[in-house]
Amino acid sequence: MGFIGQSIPRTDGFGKVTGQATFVDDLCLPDMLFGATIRSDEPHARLERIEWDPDFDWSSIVRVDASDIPGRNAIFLEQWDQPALAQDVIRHHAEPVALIACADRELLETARKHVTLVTRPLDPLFDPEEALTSEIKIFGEDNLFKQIEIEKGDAPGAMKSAWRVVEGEYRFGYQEQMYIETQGVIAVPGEDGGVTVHGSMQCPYYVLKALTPLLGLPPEKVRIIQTTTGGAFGGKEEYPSMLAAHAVLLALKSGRPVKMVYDRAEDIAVTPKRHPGVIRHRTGVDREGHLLAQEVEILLDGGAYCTLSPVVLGRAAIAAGGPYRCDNLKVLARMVATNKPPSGAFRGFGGPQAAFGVERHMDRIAEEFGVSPLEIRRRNLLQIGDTTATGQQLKDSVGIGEVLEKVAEISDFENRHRAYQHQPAKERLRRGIGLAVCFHGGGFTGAGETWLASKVDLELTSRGGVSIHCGSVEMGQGRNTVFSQIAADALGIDLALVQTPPPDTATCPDSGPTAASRTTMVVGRLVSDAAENLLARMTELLAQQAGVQLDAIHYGQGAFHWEGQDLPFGEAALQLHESCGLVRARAQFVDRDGMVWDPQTYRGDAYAAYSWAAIATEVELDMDTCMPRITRVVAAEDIGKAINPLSVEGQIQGGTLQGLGYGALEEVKMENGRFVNYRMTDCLIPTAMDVPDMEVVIVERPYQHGPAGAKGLGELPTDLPAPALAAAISQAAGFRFDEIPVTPERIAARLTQGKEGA
Amino acid sequence: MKPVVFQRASTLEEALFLLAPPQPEATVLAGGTDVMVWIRSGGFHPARVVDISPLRAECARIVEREGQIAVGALCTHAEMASSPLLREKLPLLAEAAASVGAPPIRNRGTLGGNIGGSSPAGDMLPVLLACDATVVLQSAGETRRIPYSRYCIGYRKTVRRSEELITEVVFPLPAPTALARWYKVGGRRAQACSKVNLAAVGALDRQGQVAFLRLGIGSCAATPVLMENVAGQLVGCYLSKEAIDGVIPAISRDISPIDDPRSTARYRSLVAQNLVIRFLEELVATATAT
Amino acid sequence: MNIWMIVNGERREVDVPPMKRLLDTLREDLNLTGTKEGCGEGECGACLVLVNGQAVNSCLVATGQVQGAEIWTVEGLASSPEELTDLQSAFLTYGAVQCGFCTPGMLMTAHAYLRHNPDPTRDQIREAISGNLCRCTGYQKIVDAIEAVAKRRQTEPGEAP
Repeated sequence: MGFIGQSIPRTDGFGKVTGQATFVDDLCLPDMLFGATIRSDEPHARLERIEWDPDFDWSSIVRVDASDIPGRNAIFLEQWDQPALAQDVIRHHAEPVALIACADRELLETARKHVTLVTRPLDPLFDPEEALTSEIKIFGEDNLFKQIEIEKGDAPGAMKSAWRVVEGEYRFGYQEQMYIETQGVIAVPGEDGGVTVHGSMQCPYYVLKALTPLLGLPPEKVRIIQTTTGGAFGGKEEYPSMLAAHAVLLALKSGRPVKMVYDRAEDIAVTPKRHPGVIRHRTGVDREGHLLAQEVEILLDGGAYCTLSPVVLGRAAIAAGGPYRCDNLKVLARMVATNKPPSGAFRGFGGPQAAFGVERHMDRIAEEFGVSPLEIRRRNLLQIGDTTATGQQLKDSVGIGEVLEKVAEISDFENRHRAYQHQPAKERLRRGIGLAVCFHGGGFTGAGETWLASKVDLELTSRGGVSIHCGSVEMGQGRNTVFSQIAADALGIDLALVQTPPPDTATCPDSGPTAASRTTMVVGRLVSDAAENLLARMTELLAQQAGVQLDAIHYGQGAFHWEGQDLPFGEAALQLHESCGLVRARAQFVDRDGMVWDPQTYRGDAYAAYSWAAIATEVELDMDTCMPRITRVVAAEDIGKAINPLSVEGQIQGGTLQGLGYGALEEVKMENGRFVNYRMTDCLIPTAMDVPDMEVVIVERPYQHGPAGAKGLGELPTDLPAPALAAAISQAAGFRFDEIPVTPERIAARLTQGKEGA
Repeated sequence: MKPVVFQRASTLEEALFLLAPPQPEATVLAGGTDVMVWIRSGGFHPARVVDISPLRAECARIVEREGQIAVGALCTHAEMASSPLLREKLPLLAEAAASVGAPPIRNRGTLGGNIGGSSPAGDMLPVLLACDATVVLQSAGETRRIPYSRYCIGYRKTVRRSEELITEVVFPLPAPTALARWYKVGGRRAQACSKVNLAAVGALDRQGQVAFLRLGIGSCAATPVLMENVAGQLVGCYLSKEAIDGVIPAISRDISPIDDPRSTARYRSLVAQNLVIRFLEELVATATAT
Repeated sequence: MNIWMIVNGERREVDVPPMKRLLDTLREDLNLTGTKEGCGEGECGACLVLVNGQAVNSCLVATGQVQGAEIWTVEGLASSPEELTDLQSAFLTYGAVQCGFCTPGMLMTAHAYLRHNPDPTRDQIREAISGNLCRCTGYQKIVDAIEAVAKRRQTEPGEAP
């Protein structure tokens, strides 16, 4: 019996339940300084100069500004537009301008008050709808970070023959990742002029690639080591590069280790959040309620710098039409610049916005047709053989019908939906139920995985086991355990023989970012491949040592067999480790699916495999307080194969709650380009009291090239709760809500508006 | 930055001595749920702190005397929520205390601290107003008893003098026929500051007219508010549907809510109206049922 | 100021400014870094420890206030795989841990709560942990773990750590 498919307790659990796991703020190095960031207080301004109070004693403070940057002043991701420290122009509130470090934290706080930024204010641009035509230029000539157009069939033509055309507009706000461990790094200068960074992060190689041009150092002089990471959810995908840059600049200038750990207020005020924006749908439908043509316009607010925004936009554009069959589709998606802190990656990565738009729109279509939300979806779901928005033909692993039917049955959707349509208008507690479906492609878009060319190494250890080396991180999602299960099964050895050291760019190859629901599906497969390569390498070495032909040795039941000999893996590993030193085998990504993709037209195979999900949520709405109480959540998710069902359930429950929060609770409010509720007291996420037990069904429609059939999982559950919850609240309130979060304030505004109108 | 002078009072007498002139003004520290946050996030730098948490033996009792309930200022929310005496005789206070924050906050936050800070959102304060409770202030020289309705006189501004310590709150026992209700509306179902909170006590006489009505409401003005316009309009009246509907302008006169990072004025107005009306309807329903 | 306290069963003395947060004293002066800071304002519960048996946020306690107090942190539960408390084990087997940052505070809350209420309903458990924010799990598996321990203690009494 193997380990795959079993609910193995997490292998990194012991340190986490005893307080022994070392998070970055738990590290304290000799001679360490603490760093702080001097930030702009304006959304848009010309930076004339930085004034360091001449009457303040700066002798024990290290100071850094843009002139201290040895290389190129930019945090490279998609563009070179974002400086590590602003120079000449300030483009958003709280933009970093200078850095200070000191051994005494109290003195550091005092010193902060003795720095003045002398600026000349510029007119700010806040409204993304005005960005394209505004006189104010933040990025290029038109403030357009990225525009994507997808065309399939002839949407305008098909629209003309539609029996009815349904239009709708859907709006969504920021969402804060709110990992409980705030962002933090420690930079340690090396004697060779290089630097080592320890930190809480998702993508050690992103940090490496950002630091080398900034510092003008070769990659071998920059080393990134991930510390135990207390949640990330996309929030630690790109920002750690910025934070590491700051700590490194201070460390190199001072020659001492520098720790920078944000407090919660700074973390909320300055780090990237989920993109707010608007999606407009125009859909032509035939008499039977089939989608004939979809026209979708997406506008996302990227904030002042590009970050990963173009990729987020790509996800949103591809998912804009939903998991529905439609031969004629036209998507126009734009990511624009405004004078706000940059938006960025958050679990779902454009998916939640797209799902919110199309799912609420399907509800609207259902209403106009007088059919149930379930029925309209049943009639239009993608099936094997259909093509997606990008023209990709679905060949297998399509569980959308199954997840929808499971959810419909368990939640008793039709009966309840009908019953709640006829509840008495005057009741104080009113009920509603909502439904949503979605899909999420695993891995990088299009040729992205080929371009990443991810690598995983497996190495024999001195304990007669193996260790897995790659840049993918454990951030709570279960990477260590799942990789261990995959490797143990591929090698036929015990789980205890597999080690998963934290990523260290000095010893681990780049397996791509820990993002895009790719870690199990793509990198997990590489773990399995690397295990096979390791067995081949071991066989080769054993054959040499035994003086036998390569094909005389075969491996099975956890042992090498030849000429009547049985050498268990552990003994072989020890023997080879002693006789040959380092024994490592590598696997590198190869496209097994023959993907064809055109990044210009967004035509072709967007993802190697899609995961599918459906959810139903029920609420009870108190009409006096406009507070919804979630009373039921039923979710079914097709993820190919649950390598670790316990961990999968945990991912689904946790991701679902984040999605529910996005739908009706979580709101980051902005005034004049700054986040105003930057404290945890005001920037709410759900507590244990805000959600009931969820009913989760795992569906397994395997992807032939995933490890044991596994597809992407991480983001899927976060994509779809918001529209379902908004639908449930809408039914309960008797008003349609097409903007999230559907807060009590929004409900109240709508109810009082209704009264005034009546 | 000068180090904070930290003084730990082990008896009430010592605490009053430490607060008395000529010593400079001090910040009183008990559960720390406000003071520690102000220091950490609010840029508050007290020169001197007097820690009164050791005074529990003297100031954390809940007793009944002379038809009143006296609650020591150092009683925590957890203690008030679980006190058998309060649950029997003054359940409104126990219920309100149970709705504060979440367990760790309730284990530290005190009644005195809630009053001392007098945040407009403080959850104990509407109860004090609705129950016409009196705050006992002691200083080395004198003891003052001030009804809470006259205690908080502006945004986080109170009549407490720097040498005074809140030692106790005295609650008259509500009439046995009175209906008392606590409504808290926060941003979520636990660990939430109130967007609107309402403590309501009222009773109808035998004829069905309002005998008395005291409504304390929070988060709807710069201070917690005793809704005197509402009471003035309804006391002595039958609670007909028209009378209840007609109370909305009085509610608006009693409160002056604002937009802030937690909520909107519009929302607060609507919820205040709905909750007051809900209470009045419950009052009618309860009277009709008995 | 010299302050002594009983930390995880041992008498410890520190010389710190009395207004230093207990959280910082534990982490910096006693090297007990299992207690975490998530917000610094009593909102998240990551810094939760037991002071004289009560679950409190150590970011809201001044060290000067705990003179002579008995304090338990996550390090006081168990430090070797063989000695894990029933709650620590259940947190692992029921999947109550993901990133692990809220876990120390969550465990301390659970330990204190089950002593106070040995036979809670799931809703009561949810209320008990409502001052401990977790962003990974959706809470359900944490409730599962605590409920399982409560049930087991009911049937196998006598081992409540």
